[in-house]
Amino acid sequence: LPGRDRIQPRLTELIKIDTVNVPFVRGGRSFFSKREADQDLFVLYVRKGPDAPDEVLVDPHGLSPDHRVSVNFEDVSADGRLLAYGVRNGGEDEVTVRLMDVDSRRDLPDTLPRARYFGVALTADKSAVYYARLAREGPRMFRHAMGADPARDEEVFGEGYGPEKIPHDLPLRGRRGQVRRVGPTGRSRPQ
Amino acid sequence: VWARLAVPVRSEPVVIEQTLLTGYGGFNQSQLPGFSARAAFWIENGGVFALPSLRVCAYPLLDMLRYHRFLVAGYWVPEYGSAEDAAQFSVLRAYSPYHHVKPGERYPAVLFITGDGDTRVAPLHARKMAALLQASTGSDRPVLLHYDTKAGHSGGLPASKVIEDLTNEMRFLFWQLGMSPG
Repeated sequence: LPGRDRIQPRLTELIKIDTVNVPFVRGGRSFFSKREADQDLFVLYVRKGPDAPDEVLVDPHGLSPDHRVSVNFEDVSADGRLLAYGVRNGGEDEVTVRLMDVDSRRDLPDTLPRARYFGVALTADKSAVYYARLAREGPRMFRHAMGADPARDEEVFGEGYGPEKIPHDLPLRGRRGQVRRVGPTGRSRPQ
Repeated sequence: VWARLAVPVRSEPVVIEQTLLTGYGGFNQSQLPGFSARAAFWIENGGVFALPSLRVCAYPLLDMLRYHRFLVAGYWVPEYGSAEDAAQFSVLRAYSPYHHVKPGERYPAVLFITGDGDTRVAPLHARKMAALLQASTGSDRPVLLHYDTKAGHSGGLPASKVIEDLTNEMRFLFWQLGMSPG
C-alpha cells in the first residue's frame, strides 16, 4: 500500500501529544494519569499539594517490553494514602487489582485476581475493599478484608441477580459498602 | 450532555466522493462530540467525515444467531434477543450480517479489525466474516482482516501502536478511494 511516508508523520503529530486526564482529590491530594508526548502509556501520578511536584505512583512502561501492559486507577482511600490500581494485558476487559501504600510506593500483598470488575472501593479506615465482579451466574459484590485470602472473600450482594444486571456506583467511601443502583448490563456491552 | 451542530443548508447539490462513515448506537449509549485524530487527518486530506447515530465499529458482532454463545455475550440477550426464542430468531435472522452474505455478490473493499485480546466481542465474528466474504465476493476488491494477538475492546494500546494501526487503516482507505495523502 502506498502512502506510509506521508501519512504516518502527520498522524504522529496528532496523537503524540501531552495528555492529562481529569484529576480527582482524596485527602487533599490530587491523583491523575498523564501520558507525555514521547511516552507510549499513561503513568499514574499524585500531587500532594497545589504547588507540590508530580510524583510517579505507577509507571507501566517497565511492565512489558512491547508496552502492552497498561494501568488505571480503581480507587484511592478517603485520606489519599492507599491506592487500588488495575493492571491490564492488551485490550482485555479483565484486570488484576493491586493495592499500594501511596507514601512508601510499596505494593501490599493483597492482590485481587484477574477478572471483570465493576467497581473497586476502599473503606475509609482502609481495612477492607468492596468490589463487584462478573461471576458465571451474574454480577456479585464481595468484601475483601486486608490480609485475607481473596479466594475466600465474603459475597455481600448479588444473589438472585442474573447476568442481565450489573450493579454500579457500588460502595460509598466512608460508609459500609452498599449498592446504590442496579441497572442493565452496561460496561460489558460491545462498543 | 447534548450538542447540536449547525450545518449550512446548500441549495446546490453537493458531490461527496470520499466519505468516512462511522457511528455507534446501542445499550442507550451514543457517541458524543470530541477530538478524533482519525477525523482530523481524514478531513485535512479532503475527505468527508460523517457520524450518524448508528452502530458500526471495529471489533464487530456479526453472527446474530450464535453471538450469545461466546464469551460474555450471553449478557446481551436483553438488548439484542436470542435465536433460541422462535419469535426473536426471525427478527435476528432478518438482519444478522453473517447470514446475508450472497455468493457472487460484488462486494466493496472491506477491512475487518479485531484481536485475541477482545474478551468482550469474540474475535471469531470478524475472522469468519472475512473468510466468508473472501470466498463469496464476485468483485476484485480486497477483503482483509487486521488481526492483533493482543488488541481488544478495552483499548490499552501504546501510542506508537495506535499510530501504526491508524496509518494502516488510512492507507487502506486512501488506496481504495483513490486519494493521495497531502
